[in-house]
Amino acid sequence: MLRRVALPSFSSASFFTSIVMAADGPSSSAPRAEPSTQQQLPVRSAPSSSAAANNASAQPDHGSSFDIVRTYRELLNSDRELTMGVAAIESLIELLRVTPSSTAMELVEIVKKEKAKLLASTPNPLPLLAGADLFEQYLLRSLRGPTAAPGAGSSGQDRVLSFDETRQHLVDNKDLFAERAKAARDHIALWGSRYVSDGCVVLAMGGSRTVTKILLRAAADPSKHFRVIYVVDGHNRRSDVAVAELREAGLEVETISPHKIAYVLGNQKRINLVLVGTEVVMQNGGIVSGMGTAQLAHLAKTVKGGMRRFYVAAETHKICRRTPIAYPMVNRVGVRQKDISKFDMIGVDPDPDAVVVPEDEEVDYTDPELIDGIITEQGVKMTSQIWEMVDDYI
Amino acid sequence: MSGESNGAPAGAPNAASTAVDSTKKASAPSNAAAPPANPEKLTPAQLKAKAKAEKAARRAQVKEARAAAAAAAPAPQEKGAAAADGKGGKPKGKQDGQSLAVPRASVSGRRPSMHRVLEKEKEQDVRPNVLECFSHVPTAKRIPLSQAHKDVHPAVLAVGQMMATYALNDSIARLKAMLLAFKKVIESYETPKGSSLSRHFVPHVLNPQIEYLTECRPMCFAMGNAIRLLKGKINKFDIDTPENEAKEALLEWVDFVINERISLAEYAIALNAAESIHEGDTILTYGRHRLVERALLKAKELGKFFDVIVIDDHFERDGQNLATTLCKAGIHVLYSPNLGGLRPKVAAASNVFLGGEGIFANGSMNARSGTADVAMAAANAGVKVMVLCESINFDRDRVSVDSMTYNEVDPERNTPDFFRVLYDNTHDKYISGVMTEFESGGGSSPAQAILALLRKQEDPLIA
Repeated sequence: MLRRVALPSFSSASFFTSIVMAADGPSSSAPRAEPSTQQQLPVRSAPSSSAAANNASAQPDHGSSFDIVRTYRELLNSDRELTMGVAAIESLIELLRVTPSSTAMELVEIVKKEKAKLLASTPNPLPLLAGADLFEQYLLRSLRGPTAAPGAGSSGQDRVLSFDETRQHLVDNKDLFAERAKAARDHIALWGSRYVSDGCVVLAMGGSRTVTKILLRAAADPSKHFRVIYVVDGHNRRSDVAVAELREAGLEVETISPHKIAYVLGNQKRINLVLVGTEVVMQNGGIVSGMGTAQLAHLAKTVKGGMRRFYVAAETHKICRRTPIAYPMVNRVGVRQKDISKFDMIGVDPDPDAVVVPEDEEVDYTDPELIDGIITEQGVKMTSQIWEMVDDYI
Repeated sequence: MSGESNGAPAGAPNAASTAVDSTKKASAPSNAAAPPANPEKLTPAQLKAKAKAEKAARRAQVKEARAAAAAAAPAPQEKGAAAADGKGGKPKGKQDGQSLAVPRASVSGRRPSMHRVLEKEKEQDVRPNVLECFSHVPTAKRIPLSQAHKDVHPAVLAVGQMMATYALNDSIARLKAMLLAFKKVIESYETPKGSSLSRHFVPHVLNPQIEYLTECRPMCFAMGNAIRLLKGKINKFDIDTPENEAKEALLEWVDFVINERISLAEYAIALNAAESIHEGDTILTYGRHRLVERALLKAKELGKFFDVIVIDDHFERDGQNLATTLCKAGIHVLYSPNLGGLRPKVAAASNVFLGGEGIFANGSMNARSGTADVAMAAANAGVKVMVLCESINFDRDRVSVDSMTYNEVDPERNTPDFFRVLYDNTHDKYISGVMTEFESGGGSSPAQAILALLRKQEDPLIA
């Protein structure tokens, strides 16, 4: 069923459209496209050189030696602030750049193939899938949509670009993606900080950069005085970084280990907000996030004492067009992770070559009914609202 | 006549309840004006309303008697019956149309002085001794062909009879039959001189058909939606459109709706649901629903091995047919004739697939009674409940939080001691996802998001 859909303005497609439109001004060279935004945002400095180096090496072969997985990894390593989804988008744009323009359909096929390659390279493809899907949807849309006559004047928001234009814009504005994604995080911090209330305690977990931003933003408000309890397990380095960052900003942070969550929730009546980040938001509003998140969500709901709410901070480009409906949830949606219910590892050493998620990166699924809200850059959404933000144009 | 599309289960005024409806209408404004406390002190307005109501009741009684006489009369007197009907038909139709628009709240605000009228009317009710608090729940009624409005097309008459006798039961079957009958109506329609199809067809031809169908059995959501779309389509015709052209376009449109919203939708939903079934799953379902049946067969066709638990409706026993069909297709089936032992069965399932008759704007599902029990048990056991439903069954106006507001009484189980209702209401919190024709790859949308879905997928070709 192919349907042209007039998308609501808050769709995640706007993520792309705004980028393209930003560059649609008189000067279409990328970095100067929107100087005002650039000044506000932390501009990514390091990767441009590495990306350039990468480009230089890929250019002469016209993509024959282009390795999307390598590009993705390099991008991801180059910038700590980059999310996996955005890195996937950027590497696909890189692919657009090095692939000689043939017919549009052929390009879509190439993108599909490379996307599959990218997804296969990691045992947990969901974050990449969210980004790659968003990109593919955008590509398809711009391809099937009515093309505007070139030079018809860039009037208004609803001008649809031709395919070549789109491609050129995407390539020119590659870096804008990362910047927009970071800007999104700033918006989330703004929305999320309103949920931090004075005199209360926030329980956080997972070391999400977005959560850190929210807490720092709230701390910047002189009328709010709050404390943070951070759940830190031994091996998640990101939460250590987050705790250090928060303490550096002068926040009072107490750390607890995961097995104390129920105890703390039961005894700390002042905890009124439980805040986590996530790599993926599923279409139904559930999240697939680091192991232990579901446990925290369950405990936040069931442990008696105090009113507390469980919020998830996530950018809209993390929405993944899949719905887990049966157990084991995460395996069903494509995460290659050890399925304990099979009991097939009893007395056997695990196969070291198998592509499975290493134990400290395992994920679990948190049901939407346990989540009170998802803080996105477009506002705080109920879980059922996530579905309408999905950009499905197949 | 704006009431048809959203008056579906609410309407269903049978011949006997015409009197109530008019009294209701008459009493509604006076109730609003004065508190219903004192029946002795009547304001002039109330007196007038009362007189009006009594007159309406008298008239209805006379008409009833005449109609009964006409019905009793054998074939030779058919001409007379038709004449009587023709006389009574027009105002009756009008009254029904108005009664559809009457706010239902007036039921609770009846004045004591109305009781006499009510009791009289109750004697005429086909349902013996229905408690007054349930008197709003309609039931399907066979209307003798001789009592039907003279303008009702024979094809619609046949459909009406089939709906009243539950030969057509399922919402989509009824929708399809109605659309096909409307095609016949459109084909046989000729615009009178000096009028145009876009102005004349709906009030003079289509509305009597709709009224008749509603009298036979309350419309389902799908029929209401289709009628709304059809009327919208007709209204869009320019007044100067040649009749043939307009008819041609309408017929084509009806075919298009049948294809897109029924046939293709069914295929897409079945495929989507089948894709969401995994190897080794156990799917639990309740009763027999065509979408669930198709989905399970499709999954088998795709080469998946899975088990099915069929929980049957104790009263209808439709699930036996489903179990037989699935067995023949080579699927392991556990059949349970009733809801006994529901909890362990639900807990053993990996997913519950339910078919919905309709979904309200707030995400509540209207489905065969017993569905809510299964959904609640599943939610309790942590098993995801998927609802399979075509988007034509979505109601964009009404919300429902209980089962008794919009329902129907089973005419076969309706004694002075008990009656059974046909549907129940499953709250959206027990539904994990709705699979519509707009989803693919095993996806589903949250039940609360159906309004968003309608907004997002509004099809310019249909609406």
